[in-house]
Amino acid sequence: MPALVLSASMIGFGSLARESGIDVFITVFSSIGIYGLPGQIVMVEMMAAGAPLFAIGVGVGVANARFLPMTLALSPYISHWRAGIWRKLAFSHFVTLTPWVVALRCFPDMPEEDRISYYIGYSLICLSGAALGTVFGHFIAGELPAPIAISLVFLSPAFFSMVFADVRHRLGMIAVVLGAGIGPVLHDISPDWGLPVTGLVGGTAALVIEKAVARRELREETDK
Amino acid sequence: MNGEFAWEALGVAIAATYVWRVAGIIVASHIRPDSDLARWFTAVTYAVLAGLIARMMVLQDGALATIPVPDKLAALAIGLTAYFVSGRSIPVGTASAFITFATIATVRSVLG
Repeated sequence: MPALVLSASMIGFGSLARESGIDVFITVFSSIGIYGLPGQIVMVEMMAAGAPLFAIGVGVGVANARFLPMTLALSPYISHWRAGIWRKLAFSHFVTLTPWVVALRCFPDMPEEDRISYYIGYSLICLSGAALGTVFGHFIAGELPAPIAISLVFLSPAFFSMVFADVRHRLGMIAVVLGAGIGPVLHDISPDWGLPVTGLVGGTAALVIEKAVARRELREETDK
Repeated sequence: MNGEFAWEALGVAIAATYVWRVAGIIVASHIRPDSDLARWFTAVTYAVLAGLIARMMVLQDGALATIPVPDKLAALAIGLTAYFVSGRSIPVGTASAFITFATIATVRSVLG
Protein backbone atom coordinates (compact mmCIF):
# COMPACT_ATOMS: atom_id res chain seq x y z
CA MET A 1 0.00 0.00 0.00
CA PRO A 2 2.72 2.60 0.77
CA ALA A 3 4.13 2.10 -2.75
CA LEU A 4 0.66 2.81 -4.19
CA VAL A 5 0.42 6.03 -2.18
CA LEU A 6 3.79 7.07 -3.59
CA SER A 7 2.66 6.32 -7.17
CA ALA A 8 -0.48 8.38 -6.62
CA SER A 9 1.50 11.38 -5.42
CA MET A 10 3.80 11.01 -8.42
CA ILE A 11 0.73 11.22 -10.68
CA GLY A 12 0.11 14.59 -9.06
CA PHE A 13 3.76 15.55 -9.57
CA GLY A 14 3.73 14.46 -13.24
CA SER A 15 0.69 16.63 -13.89
CA LEU A 16 2.26 19.60 -12.12
CA ALA A 17 5.42 19.25 -14.23
CA ARG A 18 3.47 19.09 -17.48
CA GLU A 19 1.49 22.19 -16.54
CA SER A 20 4.80 23.94 -15.77
CA GLY A 21 5.99 23.08 -19.30
CA ILE A 22 8.61 20.47 -18.37
CA ASP A 23 8.99 17.61 -20.85
CA VAL A 24 8.26 14.03 -19.91
CA PHE A 25 11.91 12.83 -19.93
CA ILE A 26 13.14 15.48 -17.50
CA THR A 27 10.12 14.79 -15.31
CA VAL A 28 10.52 11.03 -15.11
CA PHE A 29 14.30 11.21 -14.67
CA SER A 30 13.77 13.57 -11.75
CA SER A 31 11.64 10.86 -10.09
CA ILE A 32 14.36 8.27 -10.69
CA GLY A 33 17.42 10.44 -10.08
CA ILE A 34 16.25 12.73 -7.28
CA TYR A 35 13.73 10.27 -5.80
CA GLY A 36 12.54 12.77 -3.21
CA LEU A 37 9.28 14.56 -3.91
CA PRO A 38 9.73 17.89 -2.07
CA GLY A 39 13.00 18.52 -3.95
CA GLN A 40 11.42 17.54 -7.26
CA ILE A 41 8.58 20.02 -6.72
CA VAL A 42 11.09 22.77 -5.91
CA MET A 43 13.06 21.93 -9.07
CA VAL A 44 10.00 22.09 -11.32
CA GLU A 45 8.73 25.32 -9.78
CA MET A 46 12.13 27.02 -10.00
CA MET A 47 12.72 25.84 -13.57
CA ALA A 48 9.31 27.16 -14.57
CA ALA A 49 10.13 30.47 -12.88
CA GLY A 50 13.40 30.67 -14.85
CA ALA A 51 15.70 30.50 -11.83
CA PRO A 52 19.49 30.21 -12.40
CA LEU A 53 21.26 26.86 -11.99
CA PHE A 54 22.91 27.73 -8.70
CA ALA A 55 19.62 28.75 -7.10
CA ILE A 56 17.97 25.53 -8.26
CA GLY A 57 20.79 23.53 -6.68
CA VAL A 58 20.48 25.33 -3.35
CA GLY A 59 16.67 25.16 -3.35
CA VAL A 60 16.58 21.43 -4.09
CA GLY A 61 19.41 20.80 -1.62
CA VAL A 62 17.57 22.52 1.23
CA ALA A 63 14.31 20.73 0.37
CA ASN A 64 15.99 17.32 0.43
CA ALA A 65 18.44 17.84 3.32
CA ARG A 66 16.40 15.38 5.41
CA PHE A 67 18.15 12.53 3.56
CA LEU A 68 21.23 13.03 5.74
CA PRO A 69 19.55 12.29 9.09
CA MET A 70 17.28 9.70 7.44
CA THR A 71 20.26 7.73 6.14
CA LEU A 72 21.83 7.97 9.59
CA ALA A 73 18.69 6.83 11.38
CA LEU A 74 18.66 3.72 9.20
CA SER A 75 22.28 2.84 9.93
CA PRO A 76 21.84 1.24 13.40
CA TYR A 77 19.64 -1.42 11.79
CA ILE A 78 22.19 -2.28 9.13
CA SER A 79 25.37 -1.83 11.15
CA HIS A 80 26.14 -5.55 10.65
CA TRP A 81 26.47 -4.93 6.89
CA ARG A 82 30.13 -5.18 5.90
CA ALA A 83 30.16 -3.71 2.43
CA GLY A 84 32.63 -1.46 0.65
CA ILE A 85 32.01 2.26 0.48
CA TRP A 86 30.85 2.12 -3.15
CA ARG A 87 28.13 -0.39 -2.42
CA LYS A 88 27.01 1.66 0.56
CA LEU A 89 26.88 4.79 -1.59
CA ALA A 90 24.80 2.91 -4.16
CA PHE A 91 22.53 1.72 -1.36
CA SER A 92 22.04 5.29 -0.15
CA HIS A 93 20.26 6.25 -3.36
CA PHE A 94 17.39 4.04 -2.22
CA VAL A 95 16.85 6.14 0.90
CA THR A 96 13.61 8.03 0.45
CA LEU A 97 10.59 8.59 2.66
CA THR A 98 8.29 5.69 1.73
CA PRO A 99 10.70 2.72 2.02
CA TRP A 100 12.33 4.44 4.98
CA VAL A 101 9.17 4.49 7.11
CA VAL A 102 8.41 0.90 6.09
CA ALA A 103 11.94 -0.15 7.05
CA LEU A 104 11.80 1.51 10.47
CA ARG A 105 8.59 -0.43 11.15
CA CYS A 106 9.79 -3.84 9.94
CA PHE A 107 13.51 -3.92 10.69
CA PRO A 108 13.31 -4.53 14.46
CA ASP A 109 11.46 -7.84 13.89
CA MET A 110 13.45 -8.88 10.83
CA PRO A 111 16.61 -11.04 10.86
CA GLU A 112 19.64 -8.81 10.22
CA GLU A 113 20.77 -10.66 7.12
CA ASP A 114 17.43 -10.12 5.34
CA ARG A 115 17.25 -6.37 5.88
CA ILE A 116 19.45 -5.08 3.05
CA SER A 117 17.90 -7.19 0.31
CA TYR A 118 14.39 -6.48 1.61
CA TYR A 119 15.08 -2.76 1.66
CA ILE A 120 16.56 -2.59 -1.83
CA GLY A 121 13.77 -4.75 -3.25
CA TYR A 122 11.07 -2.66 -1.62
CA SER A 123 12.68 0.60 -2.65
CA LEU A 124 13.00 -0.63 -6.25
CA ILE A 125 9.26 -1.37 -6.28
CA CYS A 126 8.65 2.17 -4.99
CA LEU A 127 11.03 3.61 -7.59
CA SER A 128 9.26 1.78 -10.42
CA GLY A 129 5.87 2.84 -9.09
CA ALA A 130 7.10 6.42 -8.83
CA ALA A 131 8.40 6.40 -12.42
CA LEU A 132 5.16 4.89 -13.77
CA GLY A 133 3.03 7.32 -11.75
CA THR A 134 5.08 10.26 -13.02
CA VAL A 135 4.71 9.27 -16.68
CA PHE A 136 1.00 8.59 -16.22
CA GLY A 137 0.48 11.94 -14.45
CA HIS A 138 2.38 13.79 -17.18
CA PHE A 139 0.32 12.03 -19.83
CA ILE A 140 -3.12 12.73 -18.32
CA ALA A 141 -2.37 16.24 -17.01
CA GLY A 142 -5.37 18.52 -17.37
CA GLU A 143 -7.71 15.67 -18.24
CA LEU A 144 -8.24 14.52 -14.68
CA PRO A 145 -11.21 16.21 -12.93
CA ALA A 146 -9.88 18.81 -10.48
CA PRO A 147 -11.30 17.23 -7.28
CA ILE A 148 -9.64 13.89 -8.11
CA ALA A 149 -6.31 15.48 -8.99
CA ILE A 150 -6.18 17.42 -5.72
CA SER A 151 -7.28 14.37 -3.71
CA LEU A 152 -4.34 12.40 -5.12
CA VAL A 153 -2.03 15.14 -3.86
CA PHE A 154 -3.71 14.98 -0.44
CA LEU A 155 -3.22 11.20 -0.23
CA SER A 156 0.46 11.37 0.62
CA PRO A 157 0.31 13.80 3.58
CA ALA A 158 -2.74 11.87 4.87
CA PHE A 159 -0.81 8.59 4.75
CA PHE A 160 2.25 10.03 6.46
CA SER A 161 0.09 11.62 9.16
CA MET A 162 -1.09 8.10 10.02
CA VAL A 163 2.47 6.79 9.90
CA PHE A 164 3.63 9.42 12.36
CA ALA A 165 0.59 8.88 14.58
CA ASP A 166 1.75 5.26 14.67
CA VAL A 167 5.26 5.95 15.99
CA ARG A 168 5.39 3.98 19.24
CA HIS A 169 8.81 4.55 20.81
CA ARG A 170 9.06 7.43 23.22
CA LEU A 171 11.85 9.47 21.62
CA GLY A 172 10.11 9.36 18.23
CA MET A 173 6.73 10.29 19.71
CA ILE A 174 8.10 13.34 21.52
CA ALA A 175 9.98 14.45 18.39
CA VAL A 176 6.87 14.03 16.20
CA VAL A 177 4.71 16.11 18.57
CA LEU A 178 7.31 18.87 18.85
CA GLY A 179 8.04 18.90 15.10
CA ALA A 180 4.37 19.03 14.15
CA GLY A 181 3.80 21.79 16.72
CA ILE A 182 6.63 24.16 15.80
CA GLY A 183 7.04 23.27 12.10
CA PRO A 184 4.14 25.39 10.77
CA VAL A 185 5.00 28.31 13.09
CA LEU A 186 8.65 28.45 12.03
CA HIS A 187 7.65 28.04 8.38
CA ASP A 188 5.53 31.18 8.72
CA ILE A 189 8.56 33.06 10.04
CA SER A 190 11.01 31.75 7.42
CA PRO A 191 9.83 29.50 4.56
CA ASP A 192 13.43 28.67 3.62
CA TRP A 193 14.90 27.81 7.00
CA GLY A 194 11.79 26.90 9.00
CA LEU A 195 12.09 23.18 8.37
CA PRO A 196 15.81 22.65 9.14
CA VAL A 197 15.43 24.77 12.29
CA THR A 198 12.33 22.74 13.25
CA GLY A 199 14.45 19.60 13.06
CA LEU A 200 17.34 21.00 15.10
CA VAL A 201 15.18 22.59 17.80
CA GLY A 202 12.49 19.88 17.95
CA GLY A 203 14.97 17.01 17.74
CA THR A 204 17.29 18.42 20.39
CA ALA A 205 14.43 19.22 22.76
CA ALA A 206 12.97 15.73 22.20
CA LEU A 207 16.26 14.06 23.14
CA VAL A 208 16.65 16.24 26.25
CA ILE A 209 13.08 15.53 27.38
CA GLU A 210 13.39 11.81 26.67
CA LYS A 211 16.60 11.56 28.69
CA ALA A 212 15.02 13.44 31.60
CA VAL A 213 12.01 11.08 31.59
CA ALA A 214 14.28 8.02 31.37
CA ARG A 215 16.39 9.29 34.30
CA ARG A 216 13.30 9.84 36.43
CA GLU A 217 12.02 6.35 35.63
CA LEU A 218 15.36 4.90 36.61
CA ARG A 219 15.29 6.80 39.91
CA GLU A 220 11.77 5.63 40.71
CA GLU A 221 12.85 2.12 39.85
CA THR A 222 15.78 2.23 42.27
CA ASP A 223 13.68 3.91 45.01
CA LYS A 224 11.31 0.94 45.18
CA MET B 1 11.62 25.00 -20.56
CA ASN B 2 13.37 22.04 -22.08
CA GLY B 3 16.59 21.43 -23.97
CA GLU B 4 20.06 21.75 -22.55
CA PHE B 5 19.33 24.02 -19.60
CA ALA B 6 16.66 21.69 -18.26
CA TRP B 7 19.05 18.72 -18.33
CA GLU B 8 21.72 20.78 -16.58
CA ALA B 9 19.21 21.83 -13.95
CA LEU B 10 18.18 18.20 -13.47
CA GLY B 11 21.83 17.17 -13.05
CA VAL B 12 22.38 19.89 -10.46
CA ALA B 13 19.18 18.90 -8.63
CA ILE B 14 20.20 15.21 -8.55
CA ALA B 15 23.66 16.10 -7.23
CA ALA B 16 22.22 18.47 -4.61
CA THR B 17 20.03 15.64 -3.34
CA TYR B 18 22.56 12.84 -3.51
CA VAL B 19 25.16 14.78 -1.55
CA TRP B 20 22.98 14.45 1.60
CA ARG B 21 22.68 10.70 1.20
CA VAL B 22 26.45 10.40 0.75
CA ALA B 23 27.00 12.58 3.81
CA GLY B 24 24.65 10.29 5.74
CA ILE B 25 26.70 7.21 4.79
CA ILE B 26 29.98 8.92 5.67
CA VAL B 27 28.78 10.23 9.05
CA ALA B 28 27.20 6.84 9.83
CA SER B 29 30.54 5.11 9.45
CA HIS B 30 32.03 7.41 12.09
CA ILE B 31 29.48 7.28 14.88
CA ARG B 32 28.30 4.40 17.04
CA PRO B 33 24.74 3.34 16.26
CA ASP B 34 23.66 3.24 19.93
CA SER B 35 25.23 6.58 20.87
CA ASP B 36 23.36 9.73 21.90
CA LEU B 37 24.53 11.36 18.69
CA ALA B 38 22.80 8.67 16.63
CA ARG B 39 19.65 9.03 18.73
CA TRP B 40 19.81 12.79 18.26
CA PHE B 41 19.85 12.35 14.49
CA THR B 42 16.83 10.05 14.75
CA ALA B 43 14.96 12.66 16.82
CA VAL B 44 15.89 15.42 14.34
CA THR B 45 14.59 13.29 11.46
CA TYR B 46 11.25 12.64 13.12
CA ALA B 47 10.87 16.34 13.97
CA VAL B 48 11.70 17.44 10.40
CA LEU B 49 9.32 14.95 8.79
CA ALA B 50 6.49 15.70 11.24
CA GLY B 51 7.05 19.43 10.65
CA LEU B 52 6.92 18.88 6.88
CA ILE B 53 3.64 16.97 7.01
CA ALA B 54 2.09 19.37 9.55
CA ARG B 55 3.00 22.29 7.30
CA MET B 56 1.18 20.72 4.35
CA MET B 57 -1.84 20.09 6.55
CA VAL B 58 -2.31 23.34 8.45
CA LEU B 59 -0.84 26.00 6.13
CA GLN B 60 -2.17 27.42 2.89
CA ASP B 61 0.98 26.43 1.04
CA GLY B 62 2.59 24.29 -1.64
CA ALA B 63 0.75 21.80 -3.83
CA LEU B 64 -2.35 21.90 -1.60
CA ALA B 65 -2.43 25.71 -1.52
CA THR B 66 -5.76 25.95 -3.34
CA ILE B 67 -7.56 23.86 -0.72
CA PRO B 68 -9.21 25.60 2.28
CA VAL B 69 -7.43 24.60 5.49
CA PRO B 70 -10.67 23.45 7.25
CA ASP B 71 -11.18 20.83 4.49
CA LYS B 72 -7.76 19.34 5.14
CA LEU B 73 -8.20 19.42 8.91
CA ALA B 74 -11.65 17.80 8.73
CA ALA B 75 -10.32 14.97 6.56
CA LEU B 76 -7.30 14.56 8.83
CA ALA B 77 -9.47 14.49 11.99
CA ILE B 78 -11.76 11.81 10.54
CA GLY B 79 -8.76 9.83 9.30
CA LEU B 80 -7.07 9.91 12.72
CA THR B 81 -10.32 8.96 14.45
CA ALA B 82 -10.78 6.00 12.10
CA TYR B 83 -7.14 5.03 12.69
CA PHE B 84 -7.59 4.82 16.47
CA VAL B 85 -11.10 3.27 16.34
CA SER B 86 -9.85 0.55 13.97
CA GLY B 87 -7.20 -0.49 16.49
CA ARG B 88 -4.45 1.65 14.93
CA SER B 89 -4.79 0.54 11.32
CA ILE B 90 -2.84 2.82 8.96
CA PRO B 91 -4.73 1.66 5.80
CA VAL B 92 -8.14 2.33 7.42
CA GLY B 93 -7.03 5.76 8.65
CA THR B 94 -5.52 6.75 5.30
CA ALA B 95 -8.53 5.55 3.30
CA SER B 96 -10.97 7.38 5.60
CA ALA B 97 -9.03 10.63 5.33
CA PHE B 98 -8.79 10.25 1.56
CA ILE B 99 -12.49 9.49 1.04
CA THR B 100 -13.52 12.38 3.30
CA PHE B 101 -11.26 14.76 1.46
CA ALA B 102 -12.36 13.57 -2.00
CA THR B 103 -16.01 13.94 -0.98
CA ILE B 104 -15.50 17.50 0.25
CA ALA B 105 -13.53 18.41 -2.89
CA THR B 106 -16.21 16.96 -5.17
CA VAL B 107 -19.06 18.72 -3.33
CA ARG B 108 -17.17 22.00 -3.52
CA SER B 109 -16.58 21.67 -7.26
CA VAL B 110 -20.24 20.74 -7.92
CA LEU B 111 -21.42 23.72 -5.89
CA GLY B 112 -18.85 25.82 -7.75
